[in-house]
Amino acid sequence: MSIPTGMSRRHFMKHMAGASAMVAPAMMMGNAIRANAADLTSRGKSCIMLWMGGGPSTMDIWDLKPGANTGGPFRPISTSGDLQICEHMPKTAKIMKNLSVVRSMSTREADHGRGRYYMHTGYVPNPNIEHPGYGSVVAHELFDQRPYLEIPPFVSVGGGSVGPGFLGMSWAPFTVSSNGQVRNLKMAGMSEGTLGKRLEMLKLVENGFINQRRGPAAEDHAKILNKTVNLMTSEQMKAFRVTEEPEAMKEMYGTNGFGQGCLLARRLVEAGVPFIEVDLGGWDNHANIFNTLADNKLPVMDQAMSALVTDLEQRGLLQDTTIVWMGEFSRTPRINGNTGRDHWARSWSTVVGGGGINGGIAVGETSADGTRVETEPYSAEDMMATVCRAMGISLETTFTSKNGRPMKIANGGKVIKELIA
Amino acid sequence: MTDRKEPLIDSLLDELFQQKSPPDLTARILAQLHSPTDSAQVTPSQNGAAHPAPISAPIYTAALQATHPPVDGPASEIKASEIDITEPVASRSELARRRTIWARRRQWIISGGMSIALMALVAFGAWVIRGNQLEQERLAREDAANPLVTPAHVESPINDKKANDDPVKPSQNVPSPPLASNSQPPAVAPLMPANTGPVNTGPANTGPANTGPANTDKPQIAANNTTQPSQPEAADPRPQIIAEPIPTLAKNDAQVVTEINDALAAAWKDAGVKPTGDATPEEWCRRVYLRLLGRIPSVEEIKHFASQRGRDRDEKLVNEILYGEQHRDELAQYWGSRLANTLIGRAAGMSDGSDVNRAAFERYLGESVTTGKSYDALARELLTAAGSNQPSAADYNPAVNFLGSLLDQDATLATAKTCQVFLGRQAQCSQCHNHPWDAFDQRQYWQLNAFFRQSHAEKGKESFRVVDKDYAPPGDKPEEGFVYFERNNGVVDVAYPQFPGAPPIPPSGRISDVNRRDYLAQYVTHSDMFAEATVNRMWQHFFGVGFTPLVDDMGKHNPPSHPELLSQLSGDFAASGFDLKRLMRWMALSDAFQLSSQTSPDQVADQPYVGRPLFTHYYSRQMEAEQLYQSLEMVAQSRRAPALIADPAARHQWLGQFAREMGDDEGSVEHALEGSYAQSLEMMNGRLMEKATRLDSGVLKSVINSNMSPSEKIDHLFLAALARKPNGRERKAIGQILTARQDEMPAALQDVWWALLNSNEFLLDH
Repeated sequence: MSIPTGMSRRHFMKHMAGASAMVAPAMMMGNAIRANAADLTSRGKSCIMLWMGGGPSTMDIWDLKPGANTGGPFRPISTSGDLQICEHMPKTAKIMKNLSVVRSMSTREADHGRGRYYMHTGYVPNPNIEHPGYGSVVAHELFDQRPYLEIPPFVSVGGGSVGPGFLGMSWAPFTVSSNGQVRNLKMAGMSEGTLGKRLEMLKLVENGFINQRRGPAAEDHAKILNKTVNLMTSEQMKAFRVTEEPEAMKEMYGTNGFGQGCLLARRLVEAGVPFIEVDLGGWDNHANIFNTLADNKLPVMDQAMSALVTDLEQRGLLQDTTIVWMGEFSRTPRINGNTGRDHWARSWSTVVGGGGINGGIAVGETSADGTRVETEPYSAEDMMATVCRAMGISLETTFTSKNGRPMKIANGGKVIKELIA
Repeated sequence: MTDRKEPLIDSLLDELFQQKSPPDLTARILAQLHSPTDSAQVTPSQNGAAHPAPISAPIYTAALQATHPPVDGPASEIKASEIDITEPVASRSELARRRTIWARRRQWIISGGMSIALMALVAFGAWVIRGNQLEQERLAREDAANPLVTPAHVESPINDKKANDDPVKPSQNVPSPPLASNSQPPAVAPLMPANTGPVNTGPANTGPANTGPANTDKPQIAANNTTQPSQPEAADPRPQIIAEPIPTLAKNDAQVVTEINDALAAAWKDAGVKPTGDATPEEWCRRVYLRLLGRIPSVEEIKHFASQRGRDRDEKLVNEILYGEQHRDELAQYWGSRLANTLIGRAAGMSDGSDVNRAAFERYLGESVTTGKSYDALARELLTAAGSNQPSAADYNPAVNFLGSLLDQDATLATAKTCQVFLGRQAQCSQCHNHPWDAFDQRQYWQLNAFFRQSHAEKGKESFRVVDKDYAPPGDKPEEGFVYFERNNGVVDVAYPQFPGAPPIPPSGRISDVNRRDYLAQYVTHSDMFAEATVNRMWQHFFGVGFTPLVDDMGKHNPPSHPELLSQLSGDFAASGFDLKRLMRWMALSDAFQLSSQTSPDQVADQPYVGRPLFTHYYSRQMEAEQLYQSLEMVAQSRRAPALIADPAARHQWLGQFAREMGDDEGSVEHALEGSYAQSLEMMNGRLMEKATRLDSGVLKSVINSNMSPSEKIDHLFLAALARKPNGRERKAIGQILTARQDEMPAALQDVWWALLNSNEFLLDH
């Protein structure tokens, strides 16, 4: 059994502990299939997830039902792809040849917390196991392909992502604000010289303790310390300095948090970060939904999303950058008394595009009033499996949870075939 | 039963009823068609008649029998009850079989030629349904009429007045101390009076006899049940199973400690390894403060301890912390948060808008520990708690913060958490399938789950109220309060409330008949899993790893590293009246807790992290977030307050954020660091570190302003952070730095102090 270089000692031990119990047959089988799938593995892939916190009304954006009594006031418009989308997304319509809509998402979690967890991990919440989210899974799988990377492999812009679960805190999201500010990166009022002096002294105590053979934790601490000092002093940290972009570029993305977050995501892709999640909240529109969407949410999203795809394409990065757009669920086809829509998970849409994905198509269909999925329904697991496949991550990958249970990547979801390029 | 026919009938029925056929129609048809062969296939284990008993610990059992009137009554009555239960179980399984439902549908194309057969089947089906209903009604009537199969009768030995009034029959191997009163208080879970715990035995009471203070006090407490009703009404839904435990531990604390020492030494001998030498007194002192009080000791405290002479200084320190008035509030604060982490996780109630009242919950738990409430009484309170967690509510009860957030629709969270926390067993996978790793099979899981189905959490605005209501299965009467569950093969089955290894309880879902959580609490706290899980978790707290690699995943698949010791300690703990403080004392005063954390090359057989710990040295581990916060707060304080009580809001804010970055929600002990960038950046550059290393406050200020020599100043800083003085190399290197920076001495000292607080030696409990 070979040890992936990105795997920590403890993580490896967890695997070993699991293997010594009863996983052995499952793992051997996994390895055999993994060997066959090895040629699928690619290099240099990244993923940008645009997370729409609150649950966006996808039948007002990606799967319009004009004329239906559930349809709302928005009209569909044609796009550069083989599908229509909302009239308030004109810029995105022009780049839809690169993006596809999955219109037959059907899930069961309609609570914000549970839905966020489920859509991020492919697992429903469980009190005894914390599952890793997209970012941690992708970072874990792709990190060893990037020995040059000094900055964290999973960056969450604006927060709100899901943690690494049993994969361990090395794969935790590195949270920054949309202007690229990193918390606690600098010592309050300290010069580099001071840091140097302090580290010199620290090394003395640190190594002295290790030399007394005090067990593995003492050495692990030194490693993390090194990593952190490297981060604090790394040249690559300039990828976070989104404020240094030219004004024209900032304006193309939109001078708001989400726009600048998307711009930051592009900079991080250029730096080789495998997974970036950008958060846009405010979709929990129980009231006054259509004005909120038309005047506020959709223009912001339209500008940033189209700028991101265009910019990545112009820089030749789009073919290696998978883009995922989703929220925890969607909103009721029925329009409530406050001109709003409530939580709905039974029939809704997600968007995926860029690297490894067939763009410009709509997968699946909902009924005329949008209340039912009429074709094969897809789940969070299926979305995750599709994104993993698009990024060249083997779906035979099996993790071992802290209590030694085998956990299939993407919870054994099936790839949405139409989407795979 | 052939698979071939089932989808056929299914799809035919679907077609006919336009997908509105009752889901179990097919099954009923098939059941009727095949009933003779089916009954031949039914095995007892599938139907809940026979279950493997939980891991049995003979000593524990013996101790428990001496401690409590046995759950099942005297041995002869157990036999009788076993005979009694076979009949109702069999008839219930019969019912269950009839309810068996083929839930998985396969898509089928129906050929046209089927339609004739279809019509015939439908007519037949309708007849079967009616017949089945009649049959069920008849069976139900029979159940009610026949006293032999009346489930209420199952409990007859328990409800029997005679059994209750009988004095405890002490088991022969464990002598029972003289009791103040021979009559057993019949009611359950009385709250112990706050002022009668072992608290009143302060450090003064540490004579050479080393007899645990609880030995003499506890029996009186237990007998002191004046608030309890003398004899409950016959209709009382609470289980009249057992009384408050009477501590019967005949060993004194020194004997239990010797037991631990001997067991570990025997394991060393077997493995041919030698333990490391003892830690320095200062190192040991630091450990004791961290493990018992949740922070490092101050320089004064270390010096005070080290200055003492006499062989009993260790014991004095431990008693001072556990029973002394001066540490009471700190002890409550630490153990309140520690227990809350285990019970509801680190994150619960940490954020604004959460409906968990964490501060109140921690206070309640902390008080329970400091006042010496027995742990089984605490567990019963938590498992049976009802009321609101809003302090202004008339039915305010902080204990509901445990179950309130776990009572989801089917109470699966409550089931899994209860197994994990109180029984040390993982059960969540059994929810959906039988699993070789799980301690319980799927039926047992749902039998446990059934205990929670009367209970509901009514959500309010940032609060909740736990209430119990009559429970009835969907479409059924509350008298038959079973729960449905789906087997892996799609068969839907039913389960009645029953604790693993115990007889079933009356099946009624009516609160007026049976309060199921009361039964559950009794079964849980009298299970040998309960004492074992608690001892294992506490062992992990003191020694860094438990007897099993994961303390909440015990069972046959994870045999303990020191089975006899675990079983002995569990028995002692139970016999002590589940006295948490005594359990802590035993561990803190053991030889193994004295050992240095230095390893030696010949200890390769000691492999703590893959389930083969030998405890030949103290396993270094990262401080818990709470310990780190409290320690940094202490060194940042200018004046040492009588007790170091942090502002709860500030503390929770920092802990909430830091705990997320530590990643370990359950507060289990981490032996290896796997920090995130956010965590290490917070340590190096965060607000708390900034506060602890400010020139104008805390330890650093007092050192800078003192008239100590530079070398004494360095000594003081080392002692404050690492509980030791600098070694030769350190002294030399730092001396040179200070000489070179003589004109900026405060800044130089600040750099030294920062380096010490950021070192592995500070961050690790070693």
